[in-house]
Amino acid sequence: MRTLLLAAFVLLLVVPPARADDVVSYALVVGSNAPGPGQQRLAFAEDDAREVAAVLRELGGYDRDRVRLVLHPSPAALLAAVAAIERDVAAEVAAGRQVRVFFYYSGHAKASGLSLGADELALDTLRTRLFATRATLTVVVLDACQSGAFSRVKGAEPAADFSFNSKARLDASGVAVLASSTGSELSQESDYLRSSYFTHHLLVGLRGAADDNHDGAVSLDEAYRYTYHQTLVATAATAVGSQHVSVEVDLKGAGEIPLSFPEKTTKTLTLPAEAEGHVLVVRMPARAVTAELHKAKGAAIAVAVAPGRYQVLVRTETQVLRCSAVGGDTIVLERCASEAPLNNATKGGGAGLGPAYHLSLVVGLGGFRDDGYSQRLDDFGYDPQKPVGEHLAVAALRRVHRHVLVGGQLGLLGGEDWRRGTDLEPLDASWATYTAGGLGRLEIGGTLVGYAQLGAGLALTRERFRDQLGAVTSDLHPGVYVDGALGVDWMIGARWGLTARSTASYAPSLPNLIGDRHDTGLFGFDVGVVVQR
Amino acid sequence: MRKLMPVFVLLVAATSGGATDCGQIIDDPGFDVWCGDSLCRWAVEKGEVARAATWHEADRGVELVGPEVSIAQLTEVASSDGRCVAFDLVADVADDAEVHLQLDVFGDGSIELDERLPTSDWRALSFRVRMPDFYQGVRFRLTKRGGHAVLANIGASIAPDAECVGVALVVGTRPNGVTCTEDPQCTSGTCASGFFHDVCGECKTDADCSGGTICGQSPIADAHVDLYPACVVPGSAETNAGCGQDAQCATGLCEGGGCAVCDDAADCGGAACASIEYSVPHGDGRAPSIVKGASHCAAGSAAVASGGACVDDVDCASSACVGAPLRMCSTFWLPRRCDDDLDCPGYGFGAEAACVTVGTRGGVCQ
Repeated sequence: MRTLLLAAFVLLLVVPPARADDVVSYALVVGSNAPGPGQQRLAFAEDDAREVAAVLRELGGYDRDRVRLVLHPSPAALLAAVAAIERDVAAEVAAGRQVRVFFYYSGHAKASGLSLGADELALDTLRTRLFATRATLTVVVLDACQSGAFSRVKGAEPAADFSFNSKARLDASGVAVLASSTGSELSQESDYLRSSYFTHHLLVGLRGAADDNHDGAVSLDEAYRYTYHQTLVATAATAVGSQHVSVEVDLKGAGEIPLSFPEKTTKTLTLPAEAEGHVLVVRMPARAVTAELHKAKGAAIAVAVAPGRYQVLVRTETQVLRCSAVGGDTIVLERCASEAPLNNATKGGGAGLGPAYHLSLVVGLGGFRDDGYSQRLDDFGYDPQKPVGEHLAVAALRRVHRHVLVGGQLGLLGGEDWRRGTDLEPLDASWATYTAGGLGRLEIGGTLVGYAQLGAGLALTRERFRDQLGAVTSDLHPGVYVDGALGVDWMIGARWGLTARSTASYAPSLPNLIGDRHDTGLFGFDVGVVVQR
Repeated sequence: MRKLMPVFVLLVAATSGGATDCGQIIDDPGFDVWCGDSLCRWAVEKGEVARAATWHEADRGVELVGPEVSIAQLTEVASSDGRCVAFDLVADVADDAEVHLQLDVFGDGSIELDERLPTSDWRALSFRVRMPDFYQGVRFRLTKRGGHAVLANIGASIAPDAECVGVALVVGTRPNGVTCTEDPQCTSGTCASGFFHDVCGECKTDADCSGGTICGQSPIADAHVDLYPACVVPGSAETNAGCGQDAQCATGLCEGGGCAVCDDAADCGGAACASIEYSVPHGDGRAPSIVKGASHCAAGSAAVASGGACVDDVDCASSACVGAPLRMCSTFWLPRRCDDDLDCPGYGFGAEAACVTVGTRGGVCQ
């Protein structure tokens, strides 16, 4: 298990709103994978910093050159970068402009300070320097372990209900402090998300998922409320344990503090109102998770994304919709491929990624087998009356693996009809075989699913013979069968589609008195419908 | 006096020219038609037969029961049908049994081919036989000696000439009733005039007969041959029996191939003299066959007194014409008397009524 220190601080100094052109924004984004003494190297801290910088430039209203990205710095380098910000702020203030400063740090930390490799930058020092700027609004986000310690310095406690906590404080003046973890908690990275839980959810929120009031902007309140819940839920089941985002604010004025403007971006992926479930937006072909959120039915959500190709997974308890999209698309659920959900927690092992149940009904035609039995009929003067036999099969399968389904099937192998003329009525021998057995299926694909399946079980051949006097006798012959098929399912809807397959079956279930045993199987082609749930 | 309708010429010519059923020569090759415990279409010449299961319980063949068994079928196949015969046989013959297929061309008793069937365990056996340039009728005989033998199918059909290699079967002279063109072809040495073509017979004229017999017509012949000229006792043919000339009939009148009771209207007191017609139902929905008998007076004519010759009850004043049963072929347009189905041409390919009892032969009014 990887345990990493993550914490988040938000320190807000708010002044009465100014005109937009009177406000300039600076950001100092710092990431460091470097471990301190006794710490493991982080995997995604610097990536998180890059992503935060990108989102600030894309959605936060920051000019590109005013977002400074500093990776794996020493304490001195970091303080130098802070000093540069201080100088820029001073200059802007001197010019009569209000300044917003956003400071982000992702890396190791202890309660006493930030771990920058072998060295440490004391939290007191950092806090003093950040508060010393003349910015009218300063937002500080620290994504590090025990970051709650930073808040606690300011007298803050972990927020039990952040939405109440932050809103109440925002209505008052003062300082707001947010922490991704409390002063005693560890923060965590996720190999799956390829990010820290906190930063990932913060970014998802800033991309639009946190826009509760649908005003096109994500406020500080919305971002933290979203991040609080998402991070808590995401870390609840981890071995390290729950990670509580905390906040401390000291604001002046009652206005909301916008952190991002996802509506203004030219590229969004819109999840329709009817979408419901756990949503994952993955950038392709890197397969990097851009957004992960829980979507409730009832209102559309636009997630701001960088231009490019994406795959959107919408997961419910019963299925996963896999949708391909590019920035600017509105996801149309009906066009998404449906799969059974991969549910590691499922007891009994019944489900994998893809629909859990698969039903099919096919009909087709197949050629008969020439063997000793049919040759014998030919010798006795019989002539075949049918060129092909009909095939009917219904199968029910349950998914046991993403690519594997097992179940059962019932089938009918239409038999042959042989006739020999006499001076009376013609002799007529005909038969049909009924099958019941197990079936295994291996499949791969999305909308078009290629599959191979193999079945075996019991066969019962009903033989009918009409003699020259018109008397009919009927006999039943039990046996076994095996069959196989190669085919393609074309999933037209989320739960149904068409299928086409070539089939072959072997059912040596029809004996004669001489000792021949006829294979009543067919080799042919089927078409039909499939239903998945 | 012979009165023949021109339409008969074509029909009989076709029959005499040979006949096969979709290429099949043998009737009931699968031994499917049984009359009680015996085969209907095969004559059991020796031993016994019984039904026996083959590949399926309900598809029965024939078991040749006993140490020595012989069954035979005289068919009408002729050289006009083809000169190459394909045999397809399926049988189960035990090692201790010996089954032979024999061909008796012309059905005169001489065996032109004797082929042992080496088949066992229902293995199919096929072979071809080149027939002679001319033949008319073949008797197929299956014989068995020894142990178990069941025959499932004895198919024989006309095949293209190219399929037959080797020499043709050698046949001798032709028996009576077989078509001929010159006397040496015939076993009897006499190639006489027939109704439509010359046939081997016993005589050409009365002069060829001795012992007070005259040259009349054989009353009955096997189906594969025509009725032929034969030396008969004058007046020996009963009313409604077949005849070749008036003198052969007891009534002295031979009309339409049968001994009649009238020659013309004058014999009927002015009423019409015409052949009696018998209606033979088929029982399968088809229109009945009309079989013509000898000439008699139409209804309304002077009734025949008691003791007079008659062919039907309506001829008699007593309305009772008593005589022997008259059996005639329903498969043949010309009046042809018969004793059994095998006497009737075309029987093997029709499956309908063949030799049927239609009226009275040698009738006398009560």
